[in-house]
Amino acid sequence: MERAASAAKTSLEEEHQTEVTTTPATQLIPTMAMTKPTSAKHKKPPATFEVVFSGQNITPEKLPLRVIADSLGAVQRLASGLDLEAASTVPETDAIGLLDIKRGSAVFSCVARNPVVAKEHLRWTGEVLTAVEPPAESDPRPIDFILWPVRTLSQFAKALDCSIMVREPGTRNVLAIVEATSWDRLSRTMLTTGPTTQVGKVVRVGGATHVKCSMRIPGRDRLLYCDVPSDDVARRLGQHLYEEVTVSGTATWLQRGWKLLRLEIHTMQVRSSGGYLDVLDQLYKIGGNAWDEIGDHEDYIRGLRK
Amino acid sequence: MTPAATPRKIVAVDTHCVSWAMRPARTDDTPHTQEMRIRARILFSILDEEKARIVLPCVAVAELLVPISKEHRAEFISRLNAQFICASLDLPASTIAADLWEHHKSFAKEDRYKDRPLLKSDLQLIASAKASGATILYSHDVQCRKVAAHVMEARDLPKKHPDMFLDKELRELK
Repeated sequence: MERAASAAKTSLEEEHQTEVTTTPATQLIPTMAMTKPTSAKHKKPPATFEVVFSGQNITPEKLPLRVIADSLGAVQRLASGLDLEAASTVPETDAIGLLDIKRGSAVFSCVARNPVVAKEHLRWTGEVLTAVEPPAESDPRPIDFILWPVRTLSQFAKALDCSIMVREPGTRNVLAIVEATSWDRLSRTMLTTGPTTQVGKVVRVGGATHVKCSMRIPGRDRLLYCDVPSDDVARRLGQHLYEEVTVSGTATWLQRGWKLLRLEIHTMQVRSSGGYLDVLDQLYKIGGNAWDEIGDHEDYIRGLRK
Repeated sequence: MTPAATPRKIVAVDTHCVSWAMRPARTDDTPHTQEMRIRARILFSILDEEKARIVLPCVAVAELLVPISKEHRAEFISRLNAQFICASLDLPASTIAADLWEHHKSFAKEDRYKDRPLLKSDLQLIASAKASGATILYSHDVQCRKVAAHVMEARDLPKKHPDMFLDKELRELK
């Protein structure tokens, strides 16, 4: 189970770990295991929603703390509506379960600092997850923040053979349900892969098991974490740290807005030194002089395009 | 932001910008050829100074290769690819091309392309450039610039170099 939970963390999520600079306004605080309030000032707030691990063999003590923490973290990201990832470097330890939580299933009552916004985001997540078609382009509500938390929750749901439900406390009003198949469905309808070429600055290259490269791509706020299957390409990228390179490979985009989410780099190209005018003179010598025979270049090109 | 952290400008150029700029001056050049050659070289000189990255869409690469003999094509393309971002028509570019096609329908009848294959090629060039991150397209073709202006800044080739001494030098070079 721990291994499955660990597998849920991927390079895609790493992307956000290094650059988290803000704290989500909607902090989620589980209300269980709190110290007994000593005064009215510390009175327990009413829960905003509940996270329910619902399955046949789900009991609180069977849930590893890490799974709970990561799941609640993912729900928090959904509630916040921000495209951020919580730190995931929880050390691998033996699974420790919780006791004295409602029997029958694992229910975690949570309180959000901004309950209206949190519920709005969670309800929107639920809508996206149950919709047959992806949200319309014209819908201004963001969907980026939904992707990776749903991926995490979906993988936990798969590993635990359960569904993870977020509902309003004390009611049966479900805000969102993530199931084992949720991520597959979501990625099928919202993501697209295909070949592309990108220019960017190499910031990091490395990795113990899989070589990754982080790049600064123009027009993108965060670093792009790329997979580099070829050791040869990884070595070449490593030789050009902090330099601008052109990389080609298979990209995964969010269909709506064509945001580049991941890139598997297959080849790279470094811009040769020397100015453009020098290169143009070289191009002339290696065959470009054939254009001498053409009188009006614009007319010729227009003819080619017709 | 420090100057070192300022992202480089990414611009795209149409085929004729490269074909004119490659050409050395010749005594029998027509005034048009002479002018276009100078303007194209001024453009690349400015882009050199700005340390801009230049996108040359694959549509333009193919056009540049047409008059070049087969034995020179591999070397030519390799040199080109080492200096320019040769952008292909990938999936985001395809969407941009479709959007531009729609946009073109909104043009007044007299402004619309008379030739569909020409429109298709221009759209592919503009869309590939845009999807590669280009923010400006340089082209001497008014119609192409009009369509491109929907998604990015579209400029004609510069008539003068901002540095008057360099401008003079570029005009005198034979």
